[in-house]
Amino acid sequence: MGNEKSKEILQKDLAKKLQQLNEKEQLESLIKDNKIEFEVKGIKYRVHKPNNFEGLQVRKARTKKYIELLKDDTYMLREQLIDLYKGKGIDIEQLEEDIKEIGLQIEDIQEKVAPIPTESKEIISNYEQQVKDLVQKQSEISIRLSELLEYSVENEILEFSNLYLIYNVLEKLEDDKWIKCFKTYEDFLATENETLILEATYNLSMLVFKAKI
Amino acid sequence: MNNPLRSLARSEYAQNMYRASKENGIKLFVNDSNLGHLQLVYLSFLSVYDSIYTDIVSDMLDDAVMDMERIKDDFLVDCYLTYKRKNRNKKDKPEKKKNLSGIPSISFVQPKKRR
Repeated sequence: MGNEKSKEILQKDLAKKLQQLNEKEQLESLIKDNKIEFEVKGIKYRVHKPNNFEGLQVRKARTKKYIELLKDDTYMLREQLIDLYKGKGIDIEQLEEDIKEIGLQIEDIQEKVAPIPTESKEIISNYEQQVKDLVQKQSEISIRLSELLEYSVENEILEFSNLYLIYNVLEKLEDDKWIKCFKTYEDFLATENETLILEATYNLSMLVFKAKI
Repeated sequence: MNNPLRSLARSEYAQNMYRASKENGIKLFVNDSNLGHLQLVYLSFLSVYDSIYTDIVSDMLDDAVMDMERIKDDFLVDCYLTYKRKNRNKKDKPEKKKNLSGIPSISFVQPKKRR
């Protein structure tokens, strides 16, 4: 779970999971408030959107971690990493431009399709396939970019913040009361319950992370 | 395959709730503030579909095709929205007057006042 690639996969899984929510009631229960309940191995858990206090706790921890990483010579800032890649013939900025360019190509196709009559199903379907292929291409470049920048300080901070947030907002139901699932962050990191952490991440994604929905 | 959140947002039930919330302040969510990401995305879909339904009813479609059947298809809705945005941008830009006379034109600019 510790890298950007897994986050991309996570995003795809999240989209798939949303597709499976065919029942209107299920979907409504997800958006009715800022809490999502789920069950793992017979135990009820929930995550909620962090309140101001919890948000502040995460921010404090993130700042502390950021300073710590800046002092550590084994970590590089995103800009430093980009320069390093340039020396090895990999142009990160060009890859970012490619993503934008594909976005424009998609828009051009969409603009062409809008006036086509619904009866011209085959033409529309061909254009739709072209858009799907471009989205796939865009996603591949995006994954490559994430992999290349995985070891930057900024990415480490993002990973840390996400995990720290999950630790803060994950609760379990015990004797009809919602209590914090892990007493300390170290307990949270040490857990072997991967399913729980993945489920919590999926659900929290819908509340706070900018997942592609 | 269509996005279920979009399907919900364009449903008659959701659109009625959305209009009621705008007109009568009926609550869409349990929480009033601090909306979650999914809630924000849902709200924006509600607003998008509301405007498309208004376009269909008021026949404000220009050359783009949109109707009650087409609105059910996410891809066609995306195409319609892109078309609308791009063409609105084109309309917003004032067209430069073409000089068809063949005579070089001079544009007069008022000199800046000296202080």
